[in-house]
Amino acid sequence: MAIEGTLPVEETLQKIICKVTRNNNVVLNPAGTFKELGADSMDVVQIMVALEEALGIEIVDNELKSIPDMASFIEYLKGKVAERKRQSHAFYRSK
Amino acid sequence: MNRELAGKVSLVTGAARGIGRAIAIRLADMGSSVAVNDLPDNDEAVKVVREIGDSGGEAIVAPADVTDSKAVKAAVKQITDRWGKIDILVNNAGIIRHNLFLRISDADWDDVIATNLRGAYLCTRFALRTMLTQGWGRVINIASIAGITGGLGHTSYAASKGGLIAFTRGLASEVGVKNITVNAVAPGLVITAMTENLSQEARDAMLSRSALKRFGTAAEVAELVAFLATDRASYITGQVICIDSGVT
Repeated sequence: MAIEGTLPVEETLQKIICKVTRNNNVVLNPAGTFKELGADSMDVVQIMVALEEALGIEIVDNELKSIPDMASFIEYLKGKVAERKRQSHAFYRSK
Repeated sequence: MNRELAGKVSLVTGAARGIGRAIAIRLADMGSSVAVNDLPDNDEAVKVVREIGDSGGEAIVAPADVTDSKAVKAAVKQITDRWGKIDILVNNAGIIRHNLFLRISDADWDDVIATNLRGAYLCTRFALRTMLTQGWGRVINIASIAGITGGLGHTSYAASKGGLIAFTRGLASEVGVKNITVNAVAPGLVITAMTENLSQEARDAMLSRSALKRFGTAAEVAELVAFLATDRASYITGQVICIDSGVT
């Protein structure tokens, strides 16, 4: 089943995967993997770099090892974005 | 005038003097915008930028100690904030410490490896990100024939340059699929501030093996680097090109 009602993180991820894999018909399957989307190992590196740039986060390779599927990866990304926002708010409150 | 690098953005490390300076100026001559990297507070880097500007080129100083991850990251950000990308990275920053192996201090060994090898690793790590995104890039590592032949009194330098050559080949096989080429240029004896402290004996030994019976110039090395940066070199990757008057 495809993820529906896309939020910014999902949209961003989908756009980046489409661009990197040169396939505009990518559908994010919650139980799927990058490999199933036609992404090779260098494509995955490129996707991670693009996500870091687009979302302003840092993706830690060691943390990815325990992520089994696309749904978990999206949750991971959302967590990173929320963490960045929290840190950003804390920074401005301290000013 | 050859302007085939117009629209490209280059980062040249260790570009305040010597071979790095010549490379920065040559890339700018060919139309590239150039970030001139060297250690912070290096007035020579400012002079290179001014010289490029006076010739109608575009350049900025991007100061950073290449062994410092945070500083390199900041320098790369400075460049991408200014020009949006980096197309060409020339890992030129390097130092040499002359001493026979058993007299090398741990600190000297670490300094040489850190600048010549870790520096290239860090600069490439950060600059490669924009190359991956745009699907085009050139990484050109300034190695040395010492990394191939070794040499009396500079084991640490030879080890660092040998490592840089292996780094070149490894990275080339990884990123070629993304249209990024990675090559090493291995100069022989080129007279610069870094090499002028070589003993006369070492110079004479080099000269005796030189087919052209002269030392190289930084401009000659820069010409090869500039060629590797162009689309004319699009099918060359993972190579170590010696520019040494037939010494190797």
